[in-house]
Amino acid sequence: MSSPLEKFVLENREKFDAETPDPGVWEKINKRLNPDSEKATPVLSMPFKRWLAVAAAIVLVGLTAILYYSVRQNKAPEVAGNHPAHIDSSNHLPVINTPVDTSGQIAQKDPVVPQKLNPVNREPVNPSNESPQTGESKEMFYYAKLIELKHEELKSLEKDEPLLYRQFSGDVQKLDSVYHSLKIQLPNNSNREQVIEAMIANLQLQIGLLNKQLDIIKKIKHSKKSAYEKAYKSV
Amino acid sequence: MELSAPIQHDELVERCRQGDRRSYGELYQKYSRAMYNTSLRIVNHTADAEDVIQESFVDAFAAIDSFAYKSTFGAWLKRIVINKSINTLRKKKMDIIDIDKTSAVHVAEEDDYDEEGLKLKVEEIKKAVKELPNGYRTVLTLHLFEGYDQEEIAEILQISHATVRTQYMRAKQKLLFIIKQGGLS
Repeated sequence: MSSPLEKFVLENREKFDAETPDPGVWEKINKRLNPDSEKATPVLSMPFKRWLAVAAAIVLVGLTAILYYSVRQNKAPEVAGNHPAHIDSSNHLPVINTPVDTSGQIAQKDPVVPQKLNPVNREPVNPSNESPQTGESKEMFYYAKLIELKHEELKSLEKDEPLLYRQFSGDVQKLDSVYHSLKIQLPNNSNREQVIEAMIANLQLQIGLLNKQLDIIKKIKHSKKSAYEKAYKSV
Repeated sequence: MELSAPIQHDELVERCRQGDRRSYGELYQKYSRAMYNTSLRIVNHTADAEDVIQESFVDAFAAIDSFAYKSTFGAWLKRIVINKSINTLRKKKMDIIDIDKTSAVHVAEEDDYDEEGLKLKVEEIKKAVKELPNGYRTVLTLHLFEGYDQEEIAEILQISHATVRTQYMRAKQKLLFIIKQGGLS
């Protein structure tokens, strides 16, 4: 950097960067950060708002489903899968039961099932002669446990993606608050069966949402890794 | 472009890493002009340069988590831009090394042109750079404008140090020749 030319360029360096790119360039970049407009875009560049939209859509579908099931009359919902179409509701509720040992496990994370539902009935569960109703309580327990596990998994994300985690857990909490309001309704509701079905549907939705969220995280992690490798190779 | 002092964390980069969409736009605003001019000097074609910065920013954003502060973010991004610019030239089968057939016999190592006597102007230099053949222009640009040393240029272009040196000497002479001619006419 000694000749007059080099000195001159160094002293006037800024002036050599006078050209400006077309504003359309940013629009194209921005579009490519938007995955629905371009397939080739890496998963990571799916904008943050998009992920939120996906999560919000899941929540919305969930709420609609809950509403649908709680309004629907005289028909046993199909959410519970293998339950008979008609369950005698007077018979049904008392058996909502969680075994004592397992209720302790849920109590930490999701106190709803053991606290509210256990006092209703303390009849021991007969595992050899399992009625559809006990199946239901087991189902609830199973879901609560699953949700707990998935919460733990999601929590590991908190450090790496605090914003995403906050949003994700916020969405789950929205569903959970619906679950709690259903739970409060339960003792006073004439149609308990429907409420319980809605609660189960809610738990299933929570699991579905958590699964989607974990899926998204997996994709992000994967694309980060491949993006890194790609950039590393190109440099 | 490596610095010995630790590089401070760039707040804007950190915000992008946390998924703040607006920061991507800010980062583009901050660097796009410099990157565009760098690319333009190499590819010598506005549409190509725009494609290069588009690809570069998309790649950089996708890999922003892997940016490890071994250099500044600007230097890291610039390296991506330069690589893509050179690839663009190569794709078009443009020679990266120019053999100046007319003066192949003798190229003076010293400046043939009296640089002191030349009245240098930004616009004239820019114009003259555009007239240089691709290979000369690339080597000259990387050293004169981007500040890479011979070793770095040799690595970027995958050519020997000696080639870098002679290419740069010839490129500079040619540039001065063009400027001088332009000044006379």
